[in-house]
Amino acid sequence: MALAALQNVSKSFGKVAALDGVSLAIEAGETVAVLGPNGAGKSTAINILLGLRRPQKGKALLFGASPHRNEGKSRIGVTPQDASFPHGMKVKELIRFSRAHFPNAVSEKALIEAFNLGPLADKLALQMSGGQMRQLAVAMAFIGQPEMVFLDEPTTGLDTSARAGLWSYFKKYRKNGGSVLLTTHYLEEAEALADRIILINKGRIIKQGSVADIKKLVPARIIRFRAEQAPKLNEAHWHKTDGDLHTFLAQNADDGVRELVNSGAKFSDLEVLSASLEMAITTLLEER
Amino acid sequence: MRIINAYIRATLVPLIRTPAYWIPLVLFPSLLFSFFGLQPSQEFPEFAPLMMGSWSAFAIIGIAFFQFGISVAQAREDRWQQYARTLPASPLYPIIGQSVSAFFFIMLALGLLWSLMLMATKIEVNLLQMLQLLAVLLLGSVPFIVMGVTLGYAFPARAAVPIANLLYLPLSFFGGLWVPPNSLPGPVAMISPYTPTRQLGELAWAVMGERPLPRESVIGLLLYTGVFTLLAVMLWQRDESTRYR
Repeated sequence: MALAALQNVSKSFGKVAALDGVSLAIEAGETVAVLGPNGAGKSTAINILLGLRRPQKGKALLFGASPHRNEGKSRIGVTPQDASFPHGMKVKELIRFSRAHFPNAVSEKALIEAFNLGPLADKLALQMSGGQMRQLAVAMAFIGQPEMVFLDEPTTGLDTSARAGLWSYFKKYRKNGGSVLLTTHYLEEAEALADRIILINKGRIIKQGSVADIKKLVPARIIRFRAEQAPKLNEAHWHKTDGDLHTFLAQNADDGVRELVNSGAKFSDLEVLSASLEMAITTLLEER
Repeated sequence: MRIINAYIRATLVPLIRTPAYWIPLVLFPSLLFSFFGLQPSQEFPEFAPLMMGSWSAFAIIGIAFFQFGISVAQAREDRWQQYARTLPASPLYPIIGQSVSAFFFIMLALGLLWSLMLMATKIEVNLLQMLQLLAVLLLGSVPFIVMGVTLGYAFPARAAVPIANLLYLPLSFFGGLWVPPNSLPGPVAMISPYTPTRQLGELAWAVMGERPLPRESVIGLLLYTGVFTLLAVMLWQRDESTRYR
């Protein structure tokens, strides 16, 4: 049985279709990253799975039952996209409040240590910085020792070291059999953590598969070089310029490089690379 | 019990940390009593028990109204609710948290008011009467709680506070809680018997006058409870279908 599933779910807000016949399932032990541009329907999908939104068509299931049931809720942990905290509550008080809901909650001390919240424990939650609040919001998802966590953009606004700390915690959780449904704008995060990627755009699932599968869908190569002015490469179907650094995406790298050399342009630092996940996703989204 | 305790703390602690919320609520009845009720209570000690009923009702109505009304309005705008709804909990727990917090502030407000009355006037009341008054007022505060909840669902948090004041203060005056009903100006005296504050006042005065509770006032308060419960449910459904549709 899938831990969480959407079955042919449609949902619109006014005339805008947030989800259009979406079906997905997250199995035990899986880490699934839902990727897509802003407004693609990622958070709507998560909110329907959590019972925070109601589908107009189709069905959402959490542990095989309605997401509104407390049995299911007691087995999950959640970090909402725009988490906030109530006025006048300290960090340790929020942790205690959350802990009270779960029979096998992780100890306050262990959670504070695992997420480096020690110096913040006596601080009012709303007086923390955005990054610290994000860190607390993520920590709170793991309080009940859940079988599955829903992390909606968990590391947005965090510095590199805080992000690395969370990644290592996620990996440990996954190693211990936990399941994760993750949305993120950081593709390296999806690449580092996810077993499977679901690519969603305009409320529809475009592709899903492992990181390698998604990359394979775009058998393109990156040609990167420095030049004052980039020549036009007919072989390339995507081009980005950052100062004097030019990046081309080409189906056939050999033909692309040949074209570059034949153009007579002065260039340096030429590199030919495999397409990154970002390139693959950008290309797949542009194809739609 | 652990989880209920968590909800009580989560409601009470932030309110205690907001003196701007609770100091006016707790002090206001005693302050107004010292301005308008103290002198008549000293001059006419036989009316002091009735004054105790009036000003105690005024104190309880304020807390019922504000505690539930403002908290509902604020909760509707608080993104924390997104997370809170994903926790495995009965919807009754937050209501219990609010009720216990309201009870705490009611006891503070009444403690202060009653101490002032006992010390500054020659009031003759016994403990049983005071406990009866407390019980009747707590039960009688239900329609005001429901009115507060209705207000909380009807208006955004910023508007809820002034609107609550706009209703709470005139209703108290119209109900004869500040000046005796027979001293109210003509048009106000005509409306007064139909206000919920007057119904509660009648119950409080009956307790303090050692008379049976007037049945029409009990029915009046039940009717107000029914009407406002219906309104509150309709507004709650509207809110749910907007925020969690």
